[in-house]
Amino acid sequence: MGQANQHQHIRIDHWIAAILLFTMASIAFINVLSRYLFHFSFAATEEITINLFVWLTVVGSGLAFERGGQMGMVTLYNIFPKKFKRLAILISAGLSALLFVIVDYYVIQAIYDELTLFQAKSAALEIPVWIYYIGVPILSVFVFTGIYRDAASKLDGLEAEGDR
Amino acid sequence: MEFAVIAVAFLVLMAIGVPIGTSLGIAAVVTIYFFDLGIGMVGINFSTGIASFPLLAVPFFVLAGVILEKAKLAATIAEFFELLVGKSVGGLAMVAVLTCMFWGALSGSGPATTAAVGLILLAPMVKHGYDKSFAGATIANASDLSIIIPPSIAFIIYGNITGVSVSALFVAGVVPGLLTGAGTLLVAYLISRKRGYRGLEKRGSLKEILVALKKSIWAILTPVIILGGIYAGIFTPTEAAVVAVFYSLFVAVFIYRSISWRDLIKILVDASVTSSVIMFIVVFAGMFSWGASVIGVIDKAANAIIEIAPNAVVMIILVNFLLLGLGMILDAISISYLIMPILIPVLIAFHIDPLWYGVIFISAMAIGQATPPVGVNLFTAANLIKGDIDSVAKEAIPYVVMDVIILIILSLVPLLSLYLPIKAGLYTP
Repeated sequence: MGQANQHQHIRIDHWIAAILLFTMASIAFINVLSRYLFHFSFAATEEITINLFVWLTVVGSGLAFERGGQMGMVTLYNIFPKKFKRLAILISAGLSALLFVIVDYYVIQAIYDELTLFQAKSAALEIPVWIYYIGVPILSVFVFTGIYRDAASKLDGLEAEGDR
Repeated sequence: MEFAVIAVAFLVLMAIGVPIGTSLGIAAVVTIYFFDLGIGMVGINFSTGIASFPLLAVPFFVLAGVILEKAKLAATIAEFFELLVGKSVGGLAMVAVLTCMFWGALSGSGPATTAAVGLILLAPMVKHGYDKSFAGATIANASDLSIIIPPSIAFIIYGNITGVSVSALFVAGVVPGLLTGAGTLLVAYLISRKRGYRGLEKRGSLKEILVALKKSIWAILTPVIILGGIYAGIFTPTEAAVVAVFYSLFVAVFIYRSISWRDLIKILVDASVTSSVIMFIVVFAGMFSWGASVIGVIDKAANAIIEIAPNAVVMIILVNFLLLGLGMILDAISISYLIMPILIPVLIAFHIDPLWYGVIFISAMAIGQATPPVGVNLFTAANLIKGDIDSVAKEAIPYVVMDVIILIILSLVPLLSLYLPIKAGLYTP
């Protein structure tokens, strides 16, 4: 596996997740250092860290779907006949995608309201809040591809398994 | 009544294998829509459910754990314990338990501990004649400790729901964690003696032990920094987590030279995925429990418990049974979000200390990780030995019995949990 990875190209969503997490950790670490060593605090940057955390969770959820890593119960699923399994895979993927469609729809609506009506700025850094919001629908693209890839590979697996 | 339909639909979705986070999210959205709680807020609530400084400890502790795992530190630790106790009856089983306990002080997640320690010790255990299901069960069960021994993601979540200080929770988990670990060691020893699992051929000489200690000292310092910093009130848990990230990165890259910069990308991606699996549940479980509380279901459930239970002891015992049962079908995080909002008013009504209760609650959750069908640790262990989960679960029974005994002791003696946090000045009951 190590060998294969050497030549494997690092995908864009992998880069995004890695950079987001590393940035979050670095900002938080610099904050700790500056507070204890120099008695100087950039506490306002906390706002950036926690909002990047939201973005990270969206990208990471997509990867988790793709890897089939979301927590769930498989005891019953495992004893289903093939036809039920296929149906369960489709329901599961459909509902997961629907959930993010709903979240995205209302986030986009909130962004629209911010741009046209409220024009609110964040408390600490006075960044327009829609900038923080917009990461969710954009990065959700990776959630949808992740859900699709997971379902497709599970369905392929069922085909390969043959009739039971 | 309508809510009952939603709750049943949620259970059906879960049963057919829809991810827990998706099932909770759909249940939350339907509740919010159906009871007209403001569906327009779902988008913003998704963000606010995640964007919290205390919850940042989750990705950071996960990241520190993955770095140490990829740095192969578990092997160094196991080697040290092997020299120390390997020769005793059931030597390798004891080494496995001790390594899991130690790893629990580095990592806050049960399955991660099972995987890290299992990869190193399962093969040697089987080679030395241990039954492979017993070996898997031992590691799966000892890995439960990682959610009691700080740092613990379960405690971070408990703190997030109840408002109890996570620092105090971490410190409160130390003695109960060691006690549960001692119980696990005892069971491993007794079973090994009964079945004649012998120790390793030779004991390490003092010199060998010292060399191994020197080799693993950097790893051993990690929990000292994390816990010491929190105990002394220097760091918040989130700060301790991020310090642990950079400390372990420093150790892995410069001292042990076991990871390259290219590995780092993979490590960051893996940690992102693990953290997101947790946060996916956190955000939608939080939304669902918020919806349930606004429509008054939570209050009704709380009042029902207060009415049924004549006193605090009976309440705790009843709820422990409920938790052990739920632990079989749900993960610790979902249970925390579904049950704790109901229990907060109950704790107040019975004058039960919420910090002490946190330890009991998480200990009960820990047992659930090693009971089928959703015993995450059992799954991980069964996968590692390429065996079936039923035989691993059967071997886990004596451990679970011991865990329940310790849980009862913890439920009867609050001081075991409360002494350290009070002494550290982190908590006043």
